[in-house]
Amino acid sequence: MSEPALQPLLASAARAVHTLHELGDPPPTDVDGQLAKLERSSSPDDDVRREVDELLRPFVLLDLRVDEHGVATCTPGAAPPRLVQHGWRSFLVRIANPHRIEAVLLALTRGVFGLVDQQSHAARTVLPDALTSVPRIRDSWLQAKVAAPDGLSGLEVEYKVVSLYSREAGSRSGALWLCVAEEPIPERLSRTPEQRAAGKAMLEPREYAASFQFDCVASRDIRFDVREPDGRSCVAAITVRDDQGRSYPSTGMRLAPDMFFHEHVYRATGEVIRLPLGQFEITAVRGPEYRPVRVDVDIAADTEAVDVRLDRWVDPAGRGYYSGDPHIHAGGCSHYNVPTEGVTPETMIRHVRGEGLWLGSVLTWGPCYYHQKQFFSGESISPPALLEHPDMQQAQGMTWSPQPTDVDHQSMLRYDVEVSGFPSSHSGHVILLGLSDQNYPGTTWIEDWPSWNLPIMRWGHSQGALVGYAHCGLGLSVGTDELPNHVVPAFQSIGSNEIIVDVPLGAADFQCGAEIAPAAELNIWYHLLNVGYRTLMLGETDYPCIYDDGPGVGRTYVRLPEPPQGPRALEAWTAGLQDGPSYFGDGRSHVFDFAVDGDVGRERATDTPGPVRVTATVVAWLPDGPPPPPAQGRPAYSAPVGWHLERARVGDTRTVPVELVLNGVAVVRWEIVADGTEHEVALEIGLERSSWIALRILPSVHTQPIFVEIGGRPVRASRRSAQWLHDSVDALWKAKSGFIRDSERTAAREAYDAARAAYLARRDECEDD
Amino acid sequence: MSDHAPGCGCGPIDTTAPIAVSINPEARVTVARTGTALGDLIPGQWHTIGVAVRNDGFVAGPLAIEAPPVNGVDLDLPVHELTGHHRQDTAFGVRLHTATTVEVNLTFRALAALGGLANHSTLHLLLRCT
Repeated sequence: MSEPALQPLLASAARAVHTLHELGDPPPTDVDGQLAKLERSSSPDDDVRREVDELLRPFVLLDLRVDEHGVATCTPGAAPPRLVQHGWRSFLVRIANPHRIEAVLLALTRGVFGLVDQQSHAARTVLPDALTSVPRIRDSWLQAKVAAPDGLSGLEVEYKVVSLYSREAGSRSGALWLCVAEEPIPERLSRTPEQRAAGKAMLEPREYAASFQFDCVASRDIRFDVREPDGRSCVAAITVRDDQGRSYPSTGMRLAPDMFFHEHVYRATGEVIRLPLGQFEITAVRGPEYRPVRVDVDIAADTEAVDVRLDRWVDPAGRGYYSGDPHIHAGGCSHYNVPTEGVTPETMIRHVRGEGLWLGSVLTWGPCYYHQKQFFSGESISPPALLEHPDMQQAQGMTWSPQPTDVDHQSMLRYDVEVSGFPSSHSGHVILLGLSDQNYPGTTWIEDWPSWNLPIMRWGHSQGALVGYAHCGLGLSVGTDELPNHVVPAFQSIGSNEIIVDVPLGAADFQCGAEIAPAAELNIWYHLLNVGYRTLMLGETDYPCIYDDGPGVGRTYVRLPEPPQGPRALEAWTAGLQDGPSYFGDGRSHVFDFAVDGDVGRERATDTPGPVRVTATVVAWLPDGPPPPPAQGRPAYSAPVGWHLERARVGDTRTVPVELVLNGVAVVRWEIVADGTEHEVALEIGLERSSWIALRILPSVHTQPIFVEIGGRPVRASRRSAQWLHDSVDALWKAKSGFIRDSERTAAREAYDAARAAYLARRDECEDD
Repeated sequence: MSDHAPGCGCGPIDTTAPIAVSINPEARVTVARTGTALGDLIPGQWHTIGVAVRNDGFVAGPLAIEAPPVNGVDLDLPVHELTGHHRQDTAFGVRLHTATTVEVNLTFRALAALGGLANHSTLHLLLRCT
């Protein structure tokens, strides 16, 4: 066999070790650093190859050799075969591939072949037939999974990672075999690559699997007594790491409601996580209204429970402000790497409760649409956080029982629709909130829906729904952070596109953001407000597509006379959103009771120009100092990005800037200490003409505007804003009209022309440039 | 002109190109090797590697390929202009100076789509030159 080239060998080794870190199962020594030294080594290649082999050998559980037919033979490596009961452990695999075969590496363990979705990392297993699958899983105490990336590159030697699950404790014998699945050209539909790989191995009477005597450390259920500061039971996000930094339950494979793309899991008071004996670092939090609480515990033989008291630093609901996230998915991008049905309302409500949200709008969209739409009822719901497919859960060792809490009723779900993956999606993704009928008239499949958005917006309005646009800033970046700016965007993606046509025709109510750069998101909103439209803006997450962290990364707070509860909770919340005090952002800063001349109403009228008095209560919380930068090799988005109060921090201080915005321009700026203390705002500004006013801390919080009309004249604050909107309609037509069906293009053109005319009329009414 | 993305971008991309890029309805970019072998490269010669693009997100604007430098490897990574249509094809060029085997890391970004957020995808590509 020829020796592997050094550069790709080292790259493969570093990637495999990085994967062990990612899976929460890092090597106990500084293997990364030693690999980096070898990359810089001037020693002969043969010496470096030998050193790589010696360095990684202690962590290699399987040595695998691929023959000229693509059949793999496995033998035990040097890593001790130590597993943990009802948990996952990850190990290196060293692959000798002298015939340079390119293929996918798959783990086949007896009894579960073809059952667990090996390729998708899906949060829920594919369940083609749960009735027959469950007994097979239950009878198989050992499961294996090859971590991504799982492709063999054709290099003569490379390293991969395999994760192993043990249902049992004690000493157990077992066998492991990884197969090499080649993808033929053209694709064969009759047998999958893995079926063909298994078939090849059946042709010869020799042993391909490696046999082990596994030592499986016993684990047991540790109860988490997590509670609100006042002692009430609740759901929280709990992260558990052992003294080697390994996560529990392992992210190597999780079943809903635990997600592989989270490190944390959501647990209610009295629910459990299985842990072996040892030292653990436990962190609990319940969304941005709480400071993370860290508890170091020693799980001993007599330990039964861990007590955690949450640390809430702000209580908006206590001041009448109720949080909502208008854009989360039960079949989102990370749920459906290989499309499955997504997760159930019982899982989604657990995640919403665990982030301390009052309302979560679960939007059905293209992927998983026909499965998820069954959960639409036209009402808000607050189901118990039951486990999905409990028979499957039990077969996998998840035997815990969901527990109700004292505050479960506070969190509600409302199933609605995001028009994404539909024929009109090119014109921006429409969110429909508060539908009574989710099926567009005359359609059977989503491909039948209109190929532009206006008819859908009007259909939503006809049902009394609130309609608007998702992830508003996507495709609207113009290379500047200036706000407002007058650069016409190319409308290259799926943000607020057709909103500039729909708003002047009275067919769009809002846009959602608080996800990416404020200039991309707020510019279009400011221009619409500047010419007098009452467009709303909301904070959203698009969980788990734009953000995987959890629901409520972006959120919206609405002041209501009473909590949004019952089947009409969403309707109460959206009614308050349209008329009352409201703000949106990341939940790390808040603006309560924003008022002009003591009135929190969104519309004010005065007879003459002159000063008005702006008041509010502003509160924010940051840790004492900035966080460390992300570790080398970590993606940038693991650090605070988009809307996050950390990015508003002034230098290394604990202060953040508050700004008063008048007609899109920040006219007053001051700083507050973000230590959780409430700051009273009171200042006077002079108004020369009808205007809109808002408060903001960018990129963390922004209020809805208050409109002040003087002498009965409408807000016409900027001629340039009207012109920008007019010119943007032209740019939008250029970008999108080709995707509109021929049969609908004439009506679309008429609507675009009507919007252009509306902007020109308002431009001529503007009093200022 | 009419080119509507299906509701679900399921299944493999029908292509003989060695690399496939898919953009989902929420504009997430994913890149993967297909079953097509790259074959051996010849020292000093430019080789064209095809990339099939399936765009379920109507994303327009530049699709850029970024790669950290690797000794002895020249890469010609033109920016491909996405039109928003469902299927497009693109390619990039590679030249190895000598007979060797190297790995290049190619990151595909639909730059104008998400401003750098949640749209990255990296492929570790082994190039063999004899």
